Amino acid sequence: MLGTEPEIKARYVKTGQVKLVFNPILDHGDHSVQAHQAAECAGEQSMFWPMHDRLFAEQGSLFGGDPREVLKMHAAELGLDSAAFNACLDEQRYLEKVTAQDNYRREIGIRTRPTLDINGQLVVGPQPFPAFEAVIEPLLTQ
Amino acid sequence: MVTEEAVVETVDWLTNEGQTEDGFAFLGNPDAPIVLQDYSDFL
Repeated sequence: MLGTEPEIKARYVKTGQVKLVFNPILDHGDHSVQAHQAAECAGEQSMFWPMHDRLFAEQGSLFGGDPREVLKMHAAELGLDSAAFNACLDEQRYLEKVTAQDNYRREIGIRTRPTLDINGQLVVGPQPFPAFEAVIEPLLTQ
Repeated sequence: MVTEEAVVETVDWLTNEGQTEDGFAFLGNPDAPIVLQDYSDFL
């Protein structure tokens, strides 16, 4: 989710009405694997979501070359403890975890990026904010 | 006579991150009535 996420966060997550859970899709080989591990490594410093936001904002930087060096640069610019972050990424500490999470979404039939599951109701592909509002608002009045 | 007034605490849930029981990163109120599962790639 990219375009509508700021609106969803401001309207529903900030107010405590919606819990946002991130599920990795590894569709771009090693570049995806490294990027999702980087988010997990940032999570060790309670910075998963700032890294998540930065990686979406700087998507173009993740293509080409060695993604690990680019990810380490992003971590440093976010103010993370570079030594701890770099060790985490170099060890591939979350390789098994993100791979298992990606396998799980395949098993449950999630194929399209992005797919949003809102209390069991699927919103598939890029959608404008009103499409999410139409699902969320009725759930809030139940 | 002291009058007690209800204090309404406003929480900015955007400052709360954690992990679900099965290890997925979440943002917001862990007890929110609605759970939005986002399946995405960063690329």
